Amino acid sequence: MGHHRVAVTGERIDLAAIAAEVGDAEHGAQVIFAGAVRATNDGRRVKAVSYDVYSPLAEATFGEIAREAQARCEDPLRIVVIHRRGKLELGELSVVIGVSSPHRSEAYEASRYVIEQLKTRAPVWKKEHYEDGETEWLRGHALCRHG
Amino acid sequence: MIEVRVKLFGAFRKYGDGREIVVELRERSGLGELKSALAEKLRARHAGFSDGGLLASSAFAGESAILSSEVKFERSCSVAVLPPVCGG
Repeated sequence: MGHHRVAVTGERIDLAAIAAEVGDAEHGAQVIFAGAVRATNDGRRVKAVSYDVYSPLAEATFGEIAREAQARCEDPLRIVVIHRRGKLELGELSVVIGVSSPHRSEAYEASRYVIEQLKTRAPVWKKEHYEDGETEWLRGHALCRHG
Repeated sequence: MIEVRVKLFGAFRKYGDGREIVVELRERSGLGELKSALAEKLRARHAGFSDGGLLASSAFAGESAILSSEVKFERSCSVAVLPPVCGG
């Protein structure tokens, strides 16, 4: 049976807990993708990133993406998607996607599908805090379904 | 007239109280009228409002889905304005 869980959280993400959650005796592959706050973006030194999230729609979107990932695969998948909100320091995990499947190719493919779709469809926004004291909301992908 | 409470996210947080802006619309107005009313309110409250491009590239949504271009607002409600996204 497949298993999907998605969430937006203000707490640190526990990688070991996610690995345990996607674990399955019938699954020989686990792929855990973790996105972290990095120190440089477009040549500017970053000291933190604030994540703004429209949580109910974000969780609905994560769920939709997880179901799509499952629909692209014949084998049952276990998928967990967790995204942070709030201000994160360098190195903190902003998003973790755990996928397990009987074989590795399906797990890799589903993990890649989920993160690429999440980045262009989920209602999440990043404000970078720079070492020089300035801040900036990053531009991203328009969600418009209307003119 | 009806009231539409527009929740603010991302780059729109710097406007109003950072949480929401309320605009008045005629019943059965659509997204075009909502965008125009929101832009007018932002210009009235913030001299030098210059994010018309941001507003033009933004979507509107409820809690479970992005609103379609066909939506008509029949009664007072809440929506969210969603500037271009960059999660992960």
